[in-house]
Amino acid sequence: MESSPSSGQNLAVESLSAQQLSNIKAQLDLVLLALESLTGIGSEAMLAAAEKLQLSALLSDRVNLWRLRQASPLRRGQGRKKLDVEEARALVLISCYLAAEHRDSVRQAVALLEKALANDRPPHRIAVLGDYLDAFSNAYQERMEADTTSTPDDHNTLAQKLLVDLLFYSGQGGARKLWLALIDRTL
Amino acid sequence: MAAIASLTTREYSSGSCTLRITGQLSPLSQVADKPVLVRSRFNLQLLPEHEFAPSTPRPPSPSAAASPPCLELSGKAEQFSALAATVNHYVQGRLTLANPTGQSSFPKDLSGEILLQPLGLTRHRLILPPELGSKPENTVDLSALELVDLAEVLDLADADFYFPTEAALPQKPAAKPRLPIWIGSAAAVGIAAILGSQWLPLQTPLTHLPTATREADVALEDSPEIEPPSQHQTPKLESVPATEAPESSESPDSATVGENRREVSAPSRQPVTPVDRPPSADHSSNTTLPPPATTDRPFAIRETAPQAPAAAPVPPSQSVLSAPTAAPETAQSPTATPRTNDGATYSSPTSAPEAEMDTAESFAEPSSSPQRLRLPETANNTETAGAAPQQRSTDQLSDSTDAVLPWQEQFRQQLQGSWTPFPEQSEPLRYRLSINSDGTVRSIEPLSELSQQYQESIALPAPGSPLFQYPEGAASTLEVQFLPAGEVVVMPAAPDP
Repeated sequence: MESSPSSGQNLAVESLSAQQLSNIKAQLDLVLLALESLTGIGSEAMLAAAEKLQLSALLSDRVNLWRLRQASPLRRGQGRKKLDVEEARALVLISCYLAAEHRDSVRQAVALLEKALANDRPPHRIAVLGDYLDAFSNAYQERMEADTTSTPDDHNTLAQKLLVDLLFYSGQGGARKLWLALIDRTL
Repeated sequence: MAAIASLTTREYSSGSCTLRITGQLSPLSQVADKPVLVRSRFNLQLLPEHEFAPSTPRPPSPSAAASPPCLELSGKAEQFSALAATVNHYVQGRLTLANPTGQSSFPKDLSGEILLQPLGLTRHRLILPPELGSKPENTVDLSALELVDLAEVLDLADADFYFPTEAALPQKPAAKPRLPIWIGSAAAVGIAAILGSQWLPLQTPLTHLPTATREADVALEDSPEIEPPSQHQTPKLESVPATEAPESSESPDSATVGENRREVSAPSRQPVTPVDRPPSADHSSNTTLPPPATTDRPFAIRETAPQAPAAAPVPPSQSVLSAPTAAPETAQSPTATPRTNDGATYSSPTSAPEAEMDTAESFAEPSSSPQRLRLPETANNTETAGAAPQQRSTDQLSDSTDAVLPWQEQFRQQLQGSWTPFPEQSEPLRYRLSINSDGTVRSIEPLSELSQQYQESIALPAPGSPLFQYPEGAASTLEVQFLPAGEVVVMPAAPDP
């Protein structure tokens, strides 16, 4: 299932506070990070999705995409770009579009996760989930600021949560769900 | 057939969940941005998770599934809306949670009956009301995939249709016709006019008489033999003294009829002495008429004021007196009520000049001499009021009475022909016309503010203009009513005090 380009019209473009945008930037980057870790897609797929969704004006090239993702407050580095509402909306649409494109993969991973949790098996013992969790943990440690309080289990829990969330974002009205979740988290 | 053609069935499938919705496509769909499905019902089936693999397509119909569904729900639009709202809010709450394993702080019971509770990261418990679930147990544990599929089909259906509930649908207005507001007033006025013409004479202190007099009315109306020709009664009335009046009655069959007959044939010269009469005498027999000495008089002496001049050639002792059937209405005390509302006056029948007296002069002391009750327009009154029983009484009127009637009826018809009710008229327009003895209108007095307002718009004869066929020498006062129903009523009115 694919999100239509017009599905983003349901997203309310409102003025958000700086704190809200900061949390939104972090959450959006994490969703894309989980999707990358599960499906192995890169910036090329994201730019292609932006072009299909007629968002090339906002995401024209890799540098632009990198700067948008670098806006997350969790990211390493300095001089983060400010993310406006239109750019946040573009990232939401792209994330849900890609999640819908890889919905089977997401469903399979979630099904395996359920089975593992139901059988009290460690998820990383399952190949697909192990690869996902490893990829996510590595990418997180590589790209995000070092957090001395966080543990590998915290990363795994976050990755599993994002995996289940991706399942909802990949379905009907996924972009609306993600947008509302972003807004709700900032309240 | 149109209703069948408008039925719409839509089926949605997502993973292990299938939703089938059937409803009637509302005409509102033409103006809404998506179809409006009314009187809809839904059926939701959730197959076991192992029946479905992510890479395999979902069976087209749940009936094709091998195993029975682990969840099957059916209901109306209300239940569908409640289920969709619950699932949507729960999912949104789960997506918002930073700690997915913790208990959701999001309201769980948004619909009041359907509940969703988290059992961990990927397990959820759906608690259903008994009327919604098809299984005895109303608790279903859902996996994340099942919850996603459930939310998916609900979102798909919700995105495709509007599902107005029965309560939200416009109620059909009751097919109760709404009558104009003035109908009630017009009916009340009409009834009041009819009843008033009959009962106004009874509005005297001797109100204890009507029961008996009503009975007399009924008896008189029901007994054709009590309507003797006036020619036959006239000698009796002239010759029989008051005390002998009962003896002149010719109906021994029953007391009531006998009394009625006595009253009908009672002489007009019967003295009026009801003032000192104990009320118990009248109440003693509600089904019979009062004693002849007090009650037969009104029958015998009822006569219209304009009739007096016509009867003038006849000596007082031989004056033609009729016994109208409506006579009991006038059975009242002249001393207690010197002037009746309908212009009935008491006068002494002993002399012709008294019979010719105008209304002011007719209020003579009744106790001193035999009284004579004059109800000039009684016959005409009953005609205009449409009182059928009283119309028959016109047959009993004397020749003099018949000679007077045409001018009133002529006058009424003249007014009737030119009267058209005003649209906003809610009450009758009442006027008192004072008529000189030469038949010309002396004055016109409106009896209400509304009547005064419309006086110029009504074709009443101007003061000084003569009335057609008015018997000269008979002064009178009439009350003319223009009813909202379009009827014109002419009745005798009390003169100005």
